[in-house]
Amino acid sequence: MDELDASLALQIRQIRLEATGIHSFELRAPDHEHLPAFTAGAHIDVHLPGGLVRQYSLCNDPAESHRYVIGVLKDLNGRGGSLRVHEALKVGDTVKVSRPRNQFELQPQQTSALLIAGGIGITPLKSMAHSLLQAGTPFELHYCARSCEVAAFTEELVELNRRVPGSARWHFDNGVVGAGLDLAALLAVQPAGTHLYFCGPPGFMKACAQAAAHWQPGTVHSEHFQAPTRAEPLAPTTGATLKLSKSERELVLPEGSNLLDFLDQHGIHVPTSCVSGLCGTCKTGYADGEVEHNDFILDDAEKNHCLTPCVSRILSRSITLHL
Amino acid sequence: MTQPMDKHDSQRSTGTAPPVEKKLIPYGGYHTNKIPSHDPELTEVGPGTPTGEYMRSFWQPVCMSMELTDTPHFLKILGEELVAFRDKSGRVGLLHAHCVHRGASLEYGSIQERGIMCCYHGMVFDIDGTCLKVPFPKGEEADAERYACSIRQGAYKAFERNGLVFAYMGPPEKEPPFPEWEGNFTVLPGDELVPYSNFQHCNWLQVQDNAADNFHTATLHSAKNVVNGQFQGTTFDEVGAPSMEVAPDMQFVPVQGGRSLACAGARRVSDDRLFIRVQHQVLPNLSLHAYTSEDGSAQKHFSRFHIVRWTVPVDDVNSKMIGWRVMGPGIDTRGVGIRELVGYESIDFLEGQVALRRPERFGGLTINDRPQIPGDHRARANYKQAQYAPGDYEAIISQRPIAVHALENPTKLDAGVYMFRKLLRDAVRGTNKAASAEGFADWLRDAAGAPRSFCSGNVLEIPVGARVEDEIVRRRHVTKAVVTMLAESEHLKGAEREQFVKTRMLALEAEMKASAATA
Repeated sequence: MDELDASLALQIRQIRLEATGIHSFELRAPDHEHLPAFTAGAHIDVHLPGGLVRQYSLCNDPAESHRYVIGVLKDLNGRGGSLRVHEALKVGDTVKVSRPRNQFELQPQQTSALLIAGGIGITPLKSMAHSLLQAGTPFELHYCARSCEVAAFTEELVELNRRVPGSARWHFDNGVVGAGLDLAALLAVQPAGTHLYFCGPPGFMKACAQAAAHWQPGTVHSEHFQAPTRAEPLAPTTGATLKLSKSERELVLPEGSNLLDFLDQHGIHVPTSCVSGLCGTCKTGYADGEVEHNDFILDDAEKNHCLTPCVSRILSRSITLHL
Repeated sequence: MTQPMDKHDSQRSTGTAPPVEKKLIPYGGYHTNKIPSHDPELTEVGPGTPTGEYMRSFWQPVCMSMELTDTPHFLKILGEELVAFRDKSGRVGLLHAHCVHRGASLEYGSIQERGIMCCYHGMVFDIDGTCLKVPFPKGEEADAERYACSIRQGAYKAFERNGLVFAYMGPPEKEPPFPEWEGNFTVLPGDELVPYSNFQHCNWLQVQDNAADNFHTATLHSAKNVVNGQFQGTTFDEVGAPSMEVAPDMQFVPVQGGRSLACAGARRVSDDRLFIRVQHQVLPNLSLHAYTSEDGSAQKHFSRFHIVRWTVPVDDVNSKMIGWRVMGPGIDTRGVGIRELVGYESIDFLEGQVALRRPERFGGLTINDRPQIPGDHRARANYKQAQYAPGDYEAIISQRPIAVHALENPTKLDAGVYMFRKLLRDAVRGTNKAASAEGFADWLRDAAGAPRSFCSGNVLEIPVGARVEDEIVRRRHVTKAVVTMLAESEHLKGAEREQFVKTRMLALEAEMKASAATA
């Protein structure tokens, strides 16, 4: 293979209905060659008819060198990629894909792993489960879905369970908030040496990140495809009770007001400079609340305990600010 | 429970210096007279430093071909002392300066048919560092051979391209492809890449920062701010492009998975035409600039590179802008480029890009000569002239040898600078895997070594909005639409991409004309 032109032309050998709305696509080299190796958590770029390029995680066992399998949810509200996959790709078609790349690697130093999937987020985690089984590393895979009709790969996961009882578990909420997996309870205590991996829709990712906020740094891993981008324009803040821990005051932030301006009006002068979420001059500690950050400076770890009042929005009914 | 701020690793996102407490006290300089440290994570470049290691994972231009003569050329890059030479068989070598035998600098060595010979004891080294000859006395050839096989001079792979010498200074097994942007650097038939190198007496990052600082042109390059009418060619008005003295309405968009930043600016040329210039800042130290002399006099769709420039660290407190000026009638539609001003310590952009100004640079010398570069900007004979009409050089290097970010008070118009630093930090730390050394190299391979750029100059026929508020909404809509079409065409190549973008621009003009008519 030419090193510079590293894309692969693969043939769709099989399309399987894995669950309502979820198809898996098995891709193989037309000449029965071995494919470039991948590790669990890897994804490929799939070049779709019409010029769209989308990333999909590989969900099969990395020990398999003859095929790549991707699972695709038909997302009617998506950007059009999954719809194109479902409608345009047929068995026997040739598709251009990139070599696998991994931004969601299993960590070598863990003694056990906890995998939590939300919906279609099962795909990289299933691949991880295969790898962990192979390596003999203890793991638990928790699969959260609305119902069993939309849960994919049931047979393969049942097989995992047969080989290591209890390794795959399902949680169905039937669309009722709070009826599914109790993330806070599951993640309350971090067993020594255990790493956490999760993948799913944005709300689920956020819930996992929060429930694991107290885990050791470097032991929590999630899929992260996109570069940070700022949401614009900024939506007005909702009303929230501000508990100011240093000055021991409590203020009610009215709906629609900017946090920085509001604090200023109440005599709490946070140092500022850019007032655009870029410089971090106004960085303020918080706890016990939910924040839409909107800045372009804090790193992911900091966002768990710092906000920038110039652009951050309070999402929870109350929050403690270290002011 | 509230976690107190002092328990936080409070400087994680903003460098390591502690924040300077703001005291807004009249005559209170005393309260702010302590200078905190620069941000070593992003500015220091020596071996083993985070940004130094990151920089070493990219091909970098290290000098101009014209600097390779019949004697070896001593230079510093990324804090390493090196010699560059072209051996008599025509191959370019880049070696550690100090001979591995006993340390004499190879800049005093003599260039051989193959490789270079150290002046002290005569060891000869090939361009890959192999010791080719050890001049032991007659009868001791076997020992000489054994010794030669036991040593290797530090060497880096280098090649010449359009008058520049490029080198890769990272681990050999991780060598990335050399990025041929857009396949041919968008050079039109009849145009050419003309090399130049401009030395800067300061850390590399503040030079790179300046390229994403579109707010400064309205002051630094504005004729009205030249003191006492002492004009020296540092302003846009003097070069017939007064519209560039208006600060553009900027939108900064991280693109290509956080590997680069599209800096898109809108300037109103007339009631009928809007100039949209997109500059492309690519990690870690590349910038691609659209036509720098645009007057907006005619419709223009998807004009491409006018400057391709790397800001290469010499050491922590010196750097050079090395790159190509694209010259010829294809890009330079006004025909204002001056080839005799593009080269070593000079460029035909505004005056004030380097320590030497044109009268001193060219006094008795031509573009083919290499004048001494003054080291102390305040000791220059024309220091006072530079004070009357300072240029980019004076503004940038006087931010201190390494600008102290902890002392800055940025405004919202510094967005480009701060966003680029954030992208760099995420890349260097590996928090954005896509932009890490490995992620970047993978991306270049996936693009077959020819990534697409967002750089473009466009004069669009967009009628002005009825009221100022309408105009702001309209120009921002157009700017965003241009960045979007550049992103959507990233998978297309050459003529196909050009066709796509031009078609979309025509449609955008039609849309904006229709909405102006109905407003």
